[in-house]
Amino acid sequence: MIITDAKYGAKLGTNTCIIATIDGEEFSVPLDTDNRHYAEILKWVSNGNTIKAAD
Amino acid sequence: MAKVITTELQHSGASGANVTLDSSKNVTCENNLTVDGTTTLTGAVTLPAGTTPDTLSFRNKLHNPDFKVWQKGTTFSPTTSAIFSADRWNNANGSSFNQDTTVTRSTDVPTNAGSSYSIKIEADAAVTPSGGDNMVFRQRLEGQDVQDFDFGGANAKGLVASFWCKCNSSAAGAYSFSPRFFDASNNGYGQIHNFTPTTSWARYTFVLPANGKALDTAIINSNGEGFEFAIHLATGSNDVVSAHSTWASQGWAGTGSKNFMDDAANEIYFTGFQLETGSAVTDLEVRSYGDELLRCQRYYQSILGVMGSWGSAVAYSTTAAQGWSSIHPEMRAAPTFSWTGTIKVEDGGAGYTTSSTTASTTMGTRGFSWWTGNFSGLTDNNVYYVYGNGNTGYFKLDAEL
Repeated sequence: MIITDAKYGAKLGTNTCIIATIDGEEFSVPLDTDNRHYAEILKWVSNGNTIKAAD
Repeated sequence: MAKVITTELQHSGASGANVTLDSSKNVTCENNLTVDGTTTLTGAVTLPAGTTPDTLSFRNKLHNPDFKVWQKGTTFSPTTSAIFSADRWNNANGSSFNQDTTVTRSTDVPTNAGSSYSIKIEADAAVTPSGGDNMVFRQRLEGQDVQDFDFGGANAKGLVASFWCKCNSSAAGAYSFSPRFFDASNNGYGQIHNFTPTTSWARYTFVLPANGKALDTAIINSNGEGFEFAIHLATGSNDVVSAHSTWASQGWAGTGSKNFMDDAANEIYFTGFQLETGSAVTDLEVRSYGDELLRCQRYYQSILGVMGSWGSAVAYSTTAAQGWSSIHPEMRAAPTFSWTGTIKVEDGGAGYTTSSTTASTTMGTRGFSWWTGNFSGLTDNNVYYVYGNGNTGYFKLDAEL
């Protein structure tokens, strides 16, 4: 799983998801540790990458 | 007519009765019973507790074992990232190993084995694994679905794994079947069994005795990974150990296993996977397409965007809308959301499309909401029904393990 971009999506000022580019495709990933994409994004962050703030 | 009245029948060489009779007309056979003719049973049949699961439906723990369900398509080309091909089946890799293959649904199946489809994996290039490289074809099961294995105590059950396999001549050689279970701390414990497919279909069976870590370590009881059914097709030297039939925390592939990726012409086929409790293999449990699809949809759903199938939406400006949709069946976890095609909202009079290719979401296991802009001409606060422009495209929900 290769993550090249990640940015929070938010509703009423609260982050609800991450819009991520994974293996070249765009996904909306829930903030759920049982979700395998979210788990990989957390590893990606632990490797020094940053999730951009929501618009 | 002569009548023999007795309470026991005994062979001259036996140490006790072969057959005992009682006053209630019960007959007890003290050892094995062989019947050469037809057997007719009119009363209830009681089986030993350990054999009951082998005789009933739902004994096969694996999903989509005979490759009926392919919601994501029927042709895939994995390389350095893992993919899910047939539903529930994962073409995985370790250390970004280049599993440069083509994976397809095939109608080449063993005769009278219960499967109409197999999965075919073809090498597209020769690649040599090193270090921690791995190429694995696997399915992961939720821990809560294998609690009946009773691992973690003296009553742990033995398991039997089986599948059909064949390959072309260049791919012939030993590969490793490596089942593993996981405890609450995500520690994995496995067995490693080598098998050697040939150019003819054959069923490979592995008896997995309840021993080693199965006797003192419980499987995590959650919706997380509790069991992995894995076949290693390429393995770097770091992860190769001697094959062993004791549940233990070592290795991925057995010594002597072949690198499937050693020749770009290699091909291998699998079908008819089964994992069951007990000590003897049974015929493949064949379930209906509907049953298998329902099982698979707990992990992945692909919803074709025909009229109204993507739920409803309300405009919150002239250029933005928020949609919602329920999810059936409930998914394992909040799923990742994406779509193909173009989202269209319609009020019965006119339709409006967005140029957005992604959306923010709130995702749940039973339903979700999305919102995005890049529409034009919407009426604020109007409610619309949602589908794919041209009745094409898919909403994709992914909660795989």
